[in-house]
Amino acid sequence: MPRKPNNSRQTRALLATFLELSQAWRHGYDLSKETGLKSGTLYPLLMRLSEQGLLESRWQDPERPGLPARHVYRLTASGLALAREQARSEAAALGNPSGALA
Amino acid sequence: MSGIDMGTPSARWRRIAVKLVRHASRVLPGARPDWREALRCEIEYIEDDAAALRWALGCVAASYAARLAALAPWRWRVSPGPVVAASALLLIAMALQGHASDEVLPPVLDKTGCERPVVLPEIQRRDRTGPDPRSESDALCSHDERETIRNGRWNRNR
Repeated sequence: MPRKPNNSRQTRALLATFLELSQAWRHGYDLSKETGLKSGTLYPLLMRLSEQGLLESRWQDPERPGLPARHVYRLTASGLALAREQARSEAAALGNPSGALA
Repeated sequence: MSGIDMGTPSARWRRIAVKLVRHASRVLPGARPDWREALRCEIEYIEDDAAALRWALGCVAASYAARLAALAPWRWRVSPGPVVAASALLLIAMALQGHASDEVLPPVLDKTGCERPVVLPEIQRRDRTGPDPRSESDALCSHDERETIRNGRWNRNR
């Protein structure tokens, strides 16, 4: 039986984190702290979501002089739709059909 | 970073972390230049050195997994956990092999017993005076000669 894409626990946690601040650009380390995912899990997920067109990225100017620019991420429209759909299905599974995060 | 003593363990962790992240960015498949740079830059924003080292180790695992996945023509998904476990096992095996090769075996003594050949008195004299131009095999006497010498000694002892 083929696996449903983007349905792992880690991917759902990441999408839910993005959905909390859907318009904000997020850093890799902050996402790691919020989701509890290690970098070895987080970056492959970010790369995969980006390849699938669910995530967009850009370079942000350094926060302080002497520091390098920072790669930041946020969900695209299709990524946002997927994250909302997953939030709804999770809420339905928990007995809250309205969806807590949508 | 400039005010940190680079000799402290914490600073060493930071240095190792930076080197690991650079390595990870080199290992990452070539079609992802942005991601390579992202790995290198993000670590500069992690204040805690131990956290930076953990982050760097994760980046190495992610890069190797991505590299292996790019090599596999059948596009299997490679998760970093087994890659890290296999690398750790390989390192342990290499360390054990190195330890084993350092061990020195005791010398094996040749226990094949043999009787000391009986040397004729005139040959013994020649040994004291210098090398004999004859071959060494000539110095060893035959069985009959040995018997003769033994009988002679026995007769003397009587």
